[in-house]
Amino acid sequence: MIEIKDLTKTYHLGEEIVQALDGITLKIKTGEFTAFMGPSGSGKSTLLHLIGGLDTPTSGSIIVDNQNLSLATDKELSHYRNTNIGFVFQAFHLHPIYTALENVAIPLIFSGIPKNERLKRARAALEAVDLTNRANHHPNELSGGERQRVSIARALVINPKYILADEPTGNLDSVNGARIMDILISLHKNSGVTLIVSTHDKDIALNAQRVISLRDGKVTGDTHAS
Amino acid sequence: MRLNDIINTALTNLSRRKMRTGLTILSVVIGATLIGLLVSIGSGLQGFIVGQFGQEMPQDQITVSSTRTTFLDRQNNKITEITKTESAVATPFTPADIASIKAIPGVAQVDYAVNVNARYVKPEGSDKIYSVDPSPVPAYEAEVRPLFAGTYFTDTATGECLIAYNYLKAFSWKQDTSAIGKEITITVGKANAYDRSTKDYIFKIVGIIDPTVSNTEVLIPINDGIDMAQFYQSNATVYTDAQPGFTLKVRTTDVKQVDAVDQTIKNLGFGAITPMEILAQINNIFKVVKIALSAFGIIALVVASIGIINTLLMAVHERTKEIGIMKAVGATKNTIRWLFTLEGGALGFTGGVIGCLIAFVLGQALNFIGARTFLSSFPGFKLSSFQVWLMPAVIALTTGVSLVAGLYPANQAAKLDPVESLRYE
Repeated sequence: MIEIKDLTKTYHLGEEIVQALDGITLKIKTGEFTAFMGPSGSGKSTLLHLIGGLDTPTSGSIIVDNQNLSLATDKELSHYRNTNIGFVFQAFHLHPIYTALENVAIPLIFSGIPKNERLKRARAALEAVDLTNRANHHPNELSGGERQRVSIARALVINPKYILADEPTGNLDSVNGARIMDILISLHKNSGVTLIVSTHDKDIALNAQRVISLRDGKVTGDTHAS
Repeated sequence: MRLNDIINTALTNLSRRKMRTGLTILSVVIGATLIGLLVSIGSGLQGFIVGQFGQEMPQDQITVSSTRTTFLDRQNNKITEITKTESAVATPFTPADIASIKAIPGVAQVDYAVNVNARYVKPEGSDKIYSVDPSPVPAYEAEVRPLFAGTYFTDTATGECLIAYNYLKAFSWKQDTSAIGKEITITVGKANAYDRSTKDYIFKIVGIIDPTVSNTEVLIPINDGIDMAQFYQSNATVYTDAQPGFTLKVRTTDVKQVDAVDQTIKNLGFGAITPMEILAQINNIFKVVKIALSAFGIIALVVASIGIINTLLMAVHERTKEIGIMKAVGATKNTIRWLFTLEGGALGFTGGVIGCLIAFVLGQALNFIGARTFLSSFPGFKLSSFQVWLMPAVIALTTGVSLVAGLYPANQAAKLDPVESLRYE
């Protein structure tokens, strides 16, 4: 369960203060597939980063499974990200010198898992996204869709409670985008993981059980699929 | 994160920029080589001098001086008032002093420190004469020298001598045992230059000092030395009970007695110095020499550490996005800090190992070339003495300095905001 209360986040861009989130209050149930919907600059990525413990709020609180992320130390937040959160980024963010398999295994390095076990689990994660045959390829040898599947496998490898996908199809063509969404939806259905996807694409949001609309850092709509 | 994973990751990252890493390591190598080589040369010199000392002064011998000599301050053109007439006069040992020293428990033998001035030496069967500086020593002092051939003389002997190996070459004699039994003639003049009379003293060579003792000494029995000194000074009582002189050589019954006897002599108001005290002074001097020598290498290492900081700052700049990814998937600030610090440490460690190996090889080359050229007259003198502790010490130093150099870039990396890092292009 994610409980967000009066959440604000402000940035300083030079002398300008940007209000990225402005008093967000909402709850997301465990196992729910939620889409954050909104145009660019609406605050959906910032909200995902805050839920993922990658950023800290200016004010307000985020409580995930009874852990108040606003009060957590760097070590606690890192452990939270390492054990609970699987990030999927629009730009994939793969390590260029590592193979697909090694990229997928990276989170397990920070869990202190031995190399053999890491690679075994990474292979299983690659299998889940149907990419075993590309395990030994480097990111620059993979297509955009394949890179995003590696990114999903990297998110999956820790068996996360939450997958946070920030515009996961933003850099892909429609065919590959649809395939990535199919994988994420299938993961959600089969594993019961809580899936939160930020998007500005209504078609993608239509797949979600719940759509939270954001604009200028505020929640402007919250609809549940019938 | 496991330590082996941190090390592996650090090494993998370093290997990505081979040229840059190589050049940074090279700067550490220069520092490590300089430190290793110069300290090994310092140790070589120290080892040689300490070794020579050990072959010239017995461990159970204490050099005792009368010390009742007041050296008035005549520096800076100052005129000092003398309050006691005694303080203006150097006071030598008296027979009573010698008796009191001989009475100290643990004293085995007391000899005069005889000083001899000779004009020249002439080898048997030759008209040539050579410079010479004969040293009258008690037999036990002569016995500290290793011999190339022959035997030592005894305290009761007269007309026998030990000569340095170098004399065989100087006399154009065969450098073998054939010199044993040959005679040399040492000519002594007078202290008063107006007195032109001389006296010849003939010595039979009973032993040749090993070439590893690098000097040009001729050791003679004390009795002969006293005779020569009395002729030189035209004074038949010098170095007798009537005029014992200012310095004595005191031998203890056992090496273990040296410190106790030394203290008792000092308590009597005399000056005394033991071989260990001299050795400590030599070693202290060499400590300073080695620090001064290694300063060159340390300066090079400081420059190298600036290179390391630069290299790692570049790496942080280039890998900002990767740092963001690592943080997103669970790396703590400390993990990131460790990664970059260890990269610095790895640069220093590698540079230290390579530098030490180069220093060792250069040192051996110096020894090899030196023994055949500029050090050929000092057999046994190894200019570079690469001691066992030097390699771990240099590697620890370069690694330590590099770890410290890595701290600043590592902190910069650890402080990076993960969201900003992921956006970084």
